[in-house]
Amino acid sequence: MRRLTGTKRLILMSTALALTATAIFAGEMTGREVMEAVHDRPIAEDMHATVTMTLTDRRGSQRVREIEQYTLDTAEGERRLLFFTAPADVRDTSFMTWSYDDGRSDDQWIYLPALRRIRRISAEARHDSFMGSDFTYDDISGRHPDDDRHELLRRETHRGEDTHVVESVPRDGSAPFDRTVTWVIDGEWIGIRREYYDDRDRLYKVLEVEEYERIDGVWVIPRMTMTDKQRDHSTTMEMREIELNAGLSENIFSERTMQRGVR
Amino acid sequence: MKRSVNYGRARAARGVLNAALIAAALALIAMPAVAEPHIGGMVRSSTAVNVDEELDLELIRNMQTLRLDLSARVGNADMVATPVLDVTADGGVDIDLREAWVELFFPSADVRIGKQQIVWGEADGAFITDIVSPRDLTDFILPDFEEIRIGVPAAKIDWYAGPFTAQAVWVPEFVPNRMPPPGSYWSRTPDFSGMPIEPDIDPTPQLPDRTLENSEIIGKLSYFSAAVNAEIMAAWAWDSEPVLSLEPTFSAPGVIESIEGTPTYERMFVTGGSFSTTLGPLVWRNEAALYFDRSFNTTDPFTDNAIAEHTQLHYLGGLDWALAGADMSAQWIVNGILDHDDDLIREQWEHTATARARRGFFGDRLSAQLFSYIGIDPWDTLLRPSLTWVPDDGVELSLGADIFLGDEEGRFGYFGNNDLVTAEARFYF
Repeated sequence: MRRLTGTKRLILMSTALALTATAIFAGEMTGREVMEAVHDRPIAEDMHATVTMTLTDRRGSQRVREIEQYTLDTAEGERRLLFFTAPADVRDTSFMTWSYDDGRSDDQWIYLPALRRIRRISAEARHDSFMGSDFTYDDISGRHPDDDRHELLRRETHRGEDTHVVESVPRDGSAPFDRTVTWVIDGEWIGIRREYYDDRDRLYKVLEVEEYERIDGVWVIPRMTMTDKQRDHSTTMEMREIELNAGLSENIFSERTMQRGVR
Repeated sequence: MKRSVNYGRARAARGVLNAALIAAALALIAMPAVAEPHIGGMVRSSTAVNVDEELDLELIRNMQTLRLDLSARVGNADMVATPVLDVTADGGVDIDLREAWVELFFPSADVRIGKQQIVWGEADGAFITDIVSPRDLTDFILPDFEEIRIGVPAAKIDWYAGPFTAQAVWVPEFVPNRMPPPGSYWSRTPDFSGMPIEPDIDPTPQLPDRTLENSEIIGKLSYFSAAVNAEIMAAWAWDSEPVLSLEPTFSAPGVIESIEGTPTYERMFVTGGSFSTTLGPLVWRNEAALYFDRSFNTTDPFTDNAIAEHTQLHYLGGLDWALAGADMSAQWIVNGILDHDDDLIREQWEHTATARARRGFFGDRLSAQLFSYIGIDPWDTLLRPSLTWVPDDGVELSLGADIFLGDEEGRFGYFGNNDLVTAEARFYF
């Protein structure tokens, strides 16, 4: 038998490796498929929780906001209603979002007790800070997969979990970030870390999901922290007294309730 | 029939009544049957200094304010009372009950009875369909919108049916705007240049008698949806702004000796509406009202006490948007007398623009805002820059200015010598 030359051996090994890799990745999801799985992950029909939002500055001093949060999964998408109960200067302020599965822009309103009026919030304002925190309105209501172009970067073990690492680039130029990188747990489709990069590809914000648990068969995130790396400022959202599937009515997500509260 | 008002006695009586009602509200909240009692409020120290053209300073306001927000729930009823105590540096004390009402909740309706502020429409800094609550104009238009509105005794019913809400308001006793007393810092002398002689004005207004016939009925239908928020309204109400009833006296036939003027209030019918929607990245707001048979002063004291009724249109178009992290807003306001004639003291058209820019820094601990009114023809403006710092939750320190520029005949330029620098410290609890 003739021995293979060095070149032919190299070509044969390369071809074998390529075929092996193709076989492995033939079943791999695309970045878009991963983010769609996250978006389509089963959620509770409705949820009520008390949320504590803690803002911590670079010196370690903290400001705390208490919020009553209500969410409802509807045929069109999701409705979310937040009531601020503390501190005193924002008490009775309420914020409502109607999100849509078909990728339409969210509709958002804010009720300011001092003005006694409900105001629509412009779509551009979704990138503004939510009540002075490191979360934007967009972060609170979530982004639709159609808002970005997605690419699967790699698979990675992160905090002991097998994750898909997906890079997402906004389709519109209004977002304050140039791209995000999200770590999504395989099979559970819950994102546990997201990095935000600016137009100079500098890391400027990181979202870390610190606690996640299954309640009544759905994933719930009781604690997450958004850190602004450039300002050295962070905001932690902690949920407690979580009630799922309590039968919330769509009527709650209304002008009447924004002004008077849930009864 | 009209009645005169002695403001000194009325204020004293109001103070005693308010104090009694406040005591009753506090006692009610302390009752064991009451659920979710809440006592909160705000303490504020407020200073305003006039800066004239020579940069001389004059202290205009040094006031301490305590506002209590009292609320409680009993069964399906909520109770709210908002007493306010103002103490000025010269020892003046004013106790007011800004609101005090009970609201009953039903599956598809709410009924609110008592002294309440009712706010309608889409306008910022303008009152077009927002006619139910009168305004305290003793400090011009400078106070916060929450404080500029006066609560009215009313019964209000809201019916809810899906995206629609129907609201009916009955105001048994008319409450007018609170005007600056003659000769006060913000008073304005009407233009009587067209009159044969200048009238003597009696500052005591003539209010309608307290009868059922003189009550006000106002209704509104609103629609709330993702696409649009809209309202239409109608009111059979008293004009909150007084008009002068001018009566000449004659020394001889055809020879005027004097003209006596008395502020009086007249009825009108108002209808209008508003809506807001999104246009891409913008929020578009519109509001309009027609005031039928609204009373205006003429230069002819020989005819109907120099009062004539005309139809007025009041319209606003506004846009809100975000730009580089700042909240921006612009409005165009048109105010016109449709069947104007040359006898009227007022010009036919008034055009005003407003512009607002607000940006927060350091997680909204520091915010800067500029709000401006711009009068068109004559050109004048009111500029209101302000800086607010929040050193801790519930604490606000702010520094601002109210700068009046432009034609002295204009609504804002008239107060060209009234420029103010203001400082406030607020604590919310």
